[in-house]
Amino acid sequence: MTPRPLLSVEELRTYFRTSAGVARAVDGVSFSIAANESVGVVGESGCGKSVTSLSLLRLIQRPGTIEPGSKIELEGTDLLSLDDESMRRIRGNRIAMIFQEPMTALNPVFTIGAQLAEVPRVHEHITRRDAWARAVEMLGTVGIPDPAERAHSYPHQLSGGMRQRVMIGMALMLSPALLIADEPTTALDVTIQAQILELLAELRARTAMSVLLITHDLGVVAESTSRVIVMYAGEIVEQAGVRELFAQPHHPYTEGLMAAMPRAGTKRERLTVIPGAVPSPYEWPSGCRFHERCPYAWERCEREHPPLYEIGVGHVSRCHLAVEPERRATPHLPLAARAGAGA
Amino acid sequence: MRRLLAGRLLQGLAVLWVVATLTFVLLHIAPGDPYSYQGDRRVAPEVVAHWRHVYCLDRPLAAQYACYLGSLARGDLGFSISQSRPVREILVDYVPRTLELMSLGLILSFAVGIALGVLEARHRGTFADWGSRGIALFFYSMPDFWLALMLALVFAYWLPIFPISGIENVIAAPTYSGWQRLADHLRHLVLPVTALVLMTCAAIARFQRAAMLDVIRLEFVVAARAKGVSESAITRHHVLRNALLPIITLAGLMLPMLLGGAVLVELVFSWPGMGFITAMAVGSRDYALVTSSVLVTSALVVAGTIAADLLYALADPRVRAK
Amino acid sequence: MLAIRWLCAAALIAALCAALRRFAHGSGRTSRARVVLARYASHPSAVIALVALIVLYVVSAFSPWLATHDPIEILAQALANHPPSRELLFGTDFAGRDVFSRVLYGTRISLSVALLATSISVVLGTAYGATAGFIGGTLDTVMMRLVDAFLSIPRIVLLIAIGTLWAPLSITSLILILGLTAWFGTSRLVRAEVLSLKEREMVAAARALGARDLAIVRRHLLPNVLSPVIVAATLGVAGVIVNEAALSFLGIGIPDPTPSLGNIIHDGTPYLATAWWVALFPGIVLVITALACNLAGDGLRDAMDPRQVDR
Repeated sequence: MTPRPLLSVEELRTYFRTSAGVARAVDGVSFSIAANESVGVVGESGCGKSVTSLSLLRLIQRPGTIEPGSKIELEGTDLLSLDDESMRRIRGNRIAMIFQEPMTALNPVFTIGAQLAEVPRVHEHITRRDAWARAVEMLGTVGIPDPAERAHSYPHQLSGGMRQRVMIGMALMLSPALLIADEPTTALDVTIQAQILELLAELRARTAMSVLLITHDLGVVAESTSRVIVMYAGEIVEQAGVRELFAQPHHPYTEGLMAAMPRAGTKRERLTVIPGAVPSPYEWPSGCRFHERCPYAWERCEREHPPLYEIGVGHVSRCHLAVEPERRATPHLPLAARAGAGA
Repeated sequence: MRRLLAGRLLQGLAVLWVVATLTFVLLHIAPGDPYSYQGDRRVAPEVVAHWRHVYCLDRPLAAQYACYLGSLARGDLGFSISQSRPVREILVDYVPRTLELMSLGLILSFAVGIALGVLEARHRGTFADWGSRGIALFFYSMPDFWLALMLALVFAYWLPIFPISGIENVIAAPTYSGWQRLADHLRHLVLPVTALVLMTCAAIARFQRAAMLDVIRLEFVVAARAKGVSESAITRHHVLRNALLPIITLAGLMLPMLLGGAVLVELVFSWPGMGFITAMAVGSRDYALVTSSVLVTSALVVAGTIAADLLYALADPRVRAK
Repeated sequence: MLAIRWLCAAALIAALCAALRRFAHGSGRTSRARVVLARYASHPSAVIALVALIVLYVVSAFSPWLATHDPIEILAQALANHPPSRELLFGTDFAGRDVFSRVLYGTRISLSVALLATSISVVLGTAYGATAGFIGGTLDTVMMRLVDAFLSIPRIVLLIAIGTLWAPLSITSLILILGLTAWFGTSRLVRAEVLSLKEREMVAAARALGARDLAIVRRHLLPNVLSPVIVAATLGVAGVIVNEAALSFLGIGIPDPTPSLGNIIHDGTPYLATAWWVALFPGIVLVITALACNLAGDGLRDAMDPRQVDR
């Protein structure tokens, strides 16, 4: 038996009720993260990754709501039943988050030292001076050279990589149990990306925290996570250990993402792209939500919404190919590609 | 910083030069000249000839222009025929009164406007937000002079709480002690300042509200929430600090409106400031005085804008560093 | 008789509103105008403002029929500063003239002056801003520095100076002067819009070889510039009507005995303590007009420019 997970999410539904209708951005997502585990969430933009991560912190703003029936449990506490003040005490303390673009996620008019020191100051009784000392110490930990000096800098005076280090430092001020990293490297150069991922891995090893890494880049996932969740159209479509997933991707969407991934050492004329775009959350397609873009889709896929089929140890896939594997032998042009060619 | 200041000063001088040229052109194409109109006043022809000669009006156009700019540069704004003394002397007497009214009005209307804007942004979409914006727009739409008249009607005639005109109680003031005198003066300030604040705070509140809402959408607000900062601390600390920056620029932009409003408010409350003296000069067609008030108000606006720019540069770390 | 006239006016307004609603919500192809209209109609305050403006316009257009007395005729010396009554709705002024009728005619004059002056300023501002933006370079810099200088002068002070130098002003010259001093802001708006469009259009023009400058201006520039200009004009009417009133209040606007909202207030000011009605009623009409223009302008801005949607 597996021990009780650090975080467990069950049937998470986050809907946005607007005048245009109901956008079901996250539509029944269940997963869990164990202590000191690193889990990746991948998918194209618009598939519900970021809304999922914001939901975990209850940072969804009007008109978005987490629907009744959803459950988020951290260390045995039901986060959705907490009052606002208790929830506030969890943010930045037990669960911290880093964002894609550190330039916009840092307040431009405060020094980075002040922004780091703010975290212990809102959560603990601590003097301004002590908080500042801890901020400087943390800046050193995340690899900012000359931290005592640098703490007085404003965000715009730092490079992109340095700013992301500051963001990470800010998230780790109170040694959270879970760090949510939403596209932490997307805005950075490739070399800096590697450094940041290395830093995250090192910090995770040192502090025993868990990491939920959200990205559209399978390469990032391959390097730094042990388990991968693939999301599409507000749902989990595949989940597996990272080796298993790369060796035997099951869901056609995962296959498509992999085919679209540039690989070192392989020479390709051009990258394959998945035809069409993520559908609108206001009206997800009937049946399998991927069927219009799927090269194997058949009549059943239009009609019947597939459940998560168990296809291996710790490997699930939301695809009817699990019960009709012979269909994989006869790919065809997806509906979306045909419509695209016709237009 | 020093270069910024030098650059802005140079720009300001250019603006004043354009304004001076404009007033020169206006004076030139207007019927008559500053010293030819006498109306029902008796001004000796020798006096007129004297001033015409002093201000080069008996010389060719180019010389007149050079002479005009030259005397302005020396701070000589001409001679007021209606008051029979140099315009500069008149302004030295009256401008401080306007500055007193203006600075009080500016400070209070920004205090009120910013507070309203923050509250409206915080409670956006609620009845309080709509109500506050509606009332503010109502006062904003009022002609300044009429607003002043109505204040006088209600709070000086119907409910005789505040004095109707002037800067102090002329009869009783000499007998007052220092504090009594100050209190009396403040009582005279209430209505004119209220008029200025009511007519401008709506624009400020509206701007502040929009600025707050612009900042609230930014990612660092979400990041601050993710850090566990409380909603009220986010508004007070993270959002307000950023949203105050554009307000500084607004202060510079509001000056023309506030000065224009002060002219009419001063007239209604007989507040002996520059606006009052300008309005008085209309009847006597005192060319030198009215064109000088154009120059002086524009100079005040330019100075205010430069001050606002410098303040902005000091307040914004992104600009300060450059 | 009076009641019938008011009833006719009310019926006309109701019909207009209904037509507007039908047009906005009607079925069929959704044109841009219809989208704008529908968005405008979703702001209740803007709709009320539009109705108020239509009422004001209709009332002022029909002032000869709605007025109860001659606005200039002195009723009787004994009737000077008479308080409002059933006969004299808004009372009389110091000369014994009916304030209600004067306000009706005054609204007509003030509105006409404001509309004409705003038209002048809009045309001037658009031409000036488009020229500066389209030609660019040094000319643009010089032209915009000039606008900066003009904007640094409080408009009422400039108007007072001009009014003093050329007093007494005829109505025509008053319209001209109000128009000539109100275009600075518009020119800035138009220039900014032209610059941003130029940026976008240049890319498109490079692709679609052969598109003439003039064709670009006509097909892309003008329609896009139109929205901010319409908004600026609506807000501008509020500014101009208030400035005209201020000038008339100072005694250098529309000359007596012709009524304008400003000079009725001017006539009432010396008697404020005893005959408050003379200054009160024209002021209320002024406030309603300016408020309606401001609300309608805000509504138009929200309706025409989705980027500026109020959040």
